[in-house]
Amino acid sequence: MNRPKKQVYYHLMMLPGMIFLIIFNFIPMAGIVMAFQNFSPVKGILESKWVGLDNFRFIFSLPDSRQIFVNTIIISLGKIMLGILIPVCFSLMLNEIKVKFFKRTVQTIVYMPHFLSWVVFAAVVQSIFSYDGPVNVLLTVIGMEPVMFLGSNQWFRTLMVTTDSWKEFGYGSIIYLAALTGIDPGLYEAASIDGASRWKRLLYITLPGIMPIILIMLTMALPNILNAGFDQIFNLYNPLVYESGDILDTYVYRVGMLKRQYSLGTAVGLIKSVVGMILILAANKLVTTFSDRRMF
Amino acid sequence: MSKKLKQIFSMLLAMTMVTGLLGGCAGSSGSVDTITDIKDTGAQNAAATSTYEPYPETVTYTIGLRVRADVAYPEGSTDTAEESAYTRFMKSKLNIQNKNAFEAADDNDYNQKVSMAITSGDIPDIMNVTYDDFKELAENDMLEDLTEAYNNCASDLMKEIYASNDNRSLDMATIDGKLYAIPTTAISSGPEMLWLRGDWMDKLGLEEPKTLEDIENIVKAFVKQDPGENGAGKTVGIPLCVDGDTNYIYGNYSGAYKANNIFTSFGAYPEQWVEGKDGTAVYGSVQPEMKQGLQVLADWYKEGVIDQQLAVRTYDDIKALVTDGKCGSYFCGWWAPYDLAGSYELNPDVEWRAYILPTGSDNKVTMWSGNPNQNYFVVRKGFEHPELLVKAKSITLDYNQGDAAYTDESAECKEYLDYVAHGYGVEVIGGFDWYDAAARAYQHISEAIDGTRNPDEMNAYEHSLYESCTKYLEAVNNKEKPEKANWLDYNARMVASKLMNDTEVNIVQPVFFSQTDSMSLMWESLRTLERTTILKIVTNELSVDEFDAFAEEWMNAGGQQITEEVNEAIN
Repeated sequence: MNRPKKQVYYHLMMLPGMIFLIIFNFIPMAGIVMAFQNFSPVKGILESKWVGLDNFRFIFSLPDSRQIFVNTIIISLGKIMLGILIPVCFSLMLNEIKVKFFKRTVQTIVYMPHFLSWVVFAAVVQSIFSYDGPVNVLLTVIGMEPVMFLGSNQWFRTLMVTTDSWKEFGYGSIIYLAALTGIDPGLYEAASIDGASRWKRLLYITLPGIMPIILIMLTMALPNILNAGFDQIFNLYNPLVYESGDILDTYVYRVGMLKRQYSLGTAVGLIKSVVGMILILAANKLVTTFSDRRMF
Repeated sequence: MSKKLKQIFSMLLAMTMVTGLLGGCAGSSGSVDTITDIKDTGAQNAAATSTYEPYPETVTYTIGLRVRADVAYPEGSTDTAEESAYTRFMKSKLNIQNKNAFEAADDNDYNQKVSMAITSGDIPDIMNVTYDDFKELAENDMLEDLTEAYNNCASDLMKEIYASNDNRSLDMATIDGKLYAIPTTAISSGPEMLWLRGDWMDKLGLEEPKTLEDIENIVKAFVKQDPGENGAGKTVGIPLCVDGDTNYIYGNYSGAYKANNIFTSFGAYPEQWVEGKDGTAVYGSVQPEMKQGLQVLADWYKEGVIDQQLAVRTYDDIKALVTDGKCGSYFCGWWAPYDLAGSYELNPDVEWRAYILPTGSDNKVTMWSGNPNQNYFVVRKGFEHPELLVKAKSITLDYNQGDAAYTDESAECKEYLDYVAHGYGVEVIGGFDWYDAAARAYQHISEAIDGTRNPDEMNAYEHSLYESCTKYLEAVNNKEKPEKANWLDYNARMVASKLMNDTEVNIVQPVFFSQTDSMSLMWESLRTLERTTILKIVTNELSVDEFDAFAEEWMNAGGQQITEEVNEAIN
């Protein structure tokens, strides 16, 4: 009988968040009309010329548009996969460590890079992977040719994906570590009495225990498939690797912001949102089909 | 549109009412009012049509202003950007006062605030904007026509300065025969120079370079024989800057770390719209002459004459290499010492020599001149005193580029000069400079040092440079170590500028600096294609023969259409 009353407080707690969402996410959606206009800041939204789907046609007619979409999807898929694989493995390993002090220290150290901005971290990446940097010194020591990592179309995407995981895996592992502590210790005891080895326990207790979290993290990552990380790539790319590294956001930055083609930028943003929405709905459907969890 | 007009009208109405009220307050009785009114109108008219006549009543104008975070005011003063030596000086001269509609800490911030002002339709009376903004505002009828104001109120000096670049600056600001902005001129940087470490050349016994081969041999010797004792393989060749969207291995003549002269020596003008053989405008980067320059760069890259890591270095990386003595050769304008001061500080024995190279078939270097303007001062349509901008600029020019400061004894002027000398505060409506300001400064300073010119017969800025150069010479005569600031002023203003002054060069005048309709959409795509392909050719990833395919692809991907539009625009 007092449930609705109790809920009032919960709703009140949500209120600031909702207001924030309405002001900063819902109201600005009106700006989407710019994608169908030839927007001129002087004329404003109301008086700019309507051009229908011209902006979208233009994006897909660009000679480099295919390459840009391919780059974006490859880099961001790589980041999503590695961004789950590495934190999961890392937290499983860390979970096996019993010395608390060591565990805490490692955890703190690995999630530090998350708080660095890409401008700073890019400088670190640049000096480590530069032509005369430590990685190439190692390569020459073991008798291999030095590689211009940041100027090579073979290496650029790999480098983007791995350095992104390097920066983010510590932070990403927090949630899995939390999930691991939630597994009932009784299960492990019972399993070891039954003679299950450590490996078997990992395979049959730990992994199924955190699987729902992994699936949810995957579902939440999918809508971002067209966000391949502007900050990182913008700070690390150069014209030599446009072919493999130029992504939607960097391209739109160059066309839209520098040349002030706001309509084009809006159109790309709209494409990204629509694709993201379709993906999140599809992923949610998949998760509900294959497990008993759902996001919404 | 009608809505906007209404808005402007209502604002105007409100403004006249406010001024009316203020006027009413000032007068005490009706009859006196009418008399002052008549007097006022006369004074108003005089102020509106002459250069130096002050306004009878203080005119307050709104303006958008860059106020950098590190701006300094005299110690102990309570000055701000709205109340400083500059504003007091302007008030005493013209009876005008600025009120800042917005203040921005840097260029990015400023451009954003200008965009905001334009988008919201509420622009300040006076703004300093980019060419794109200027054009957009003018095309949408948001700017006041300044033709009459310029004709009536521009000082002779202002007209003379614009004439120093054949009035190209004003042409850029004129649309359909009407002047819509007072442009800030760009100063010519003169020819690009090859800067070499003279102490390294002496150490290795190298002769002065004259040809492309000489340059190649000198740089090879720097890289292989390591005169700077950096360790094997640590000395880099000629750096070319590919950083962000602004820097590339060519373009922006006389900027640092570019190879423009190598292209011009073969008659190629990359990134410029120039007159082609048939008299029509062509885009320089896709002309066949580019191939010879690219061949040189590609060969040099293979031989290590060009920095092997050019694609991944930032501008600051290169500057650090030069400062640390890891690089002893690069291309830059006469102003290079301003970037080299760090190398002198680290190593006082460092000696940089400049050469205007490489030359073309006529033994002269060919340069192209840049965009005549940096930016545009515009007046909001409907502002009652559009001539205020012209008047304020004229005064600033008289005191900075002219000699008015030497005869003016007023306290405001003294304070203002002190402010200029120390860089106190913010120049609200600043001035601009002669197209050949750098060359003029050299002539004036060298004549003063030689004793053929009275040091007072030059403008205030030149005078401060002259003093710095004499301090350098004194220190050298006394066998002391010259100060860093004096070292760089002397090297830039006397050594490099002398070379610039004494060397005859060919000047190519690009025919188009503006933007056509298709450009705004298609240019980035074409530019990406150009920059990627050219960089691949230079780094030997593609052969020079691929250039023809690139030029054709460029034409087909919209370059043809844009070329036609450019030709239409200039005819």
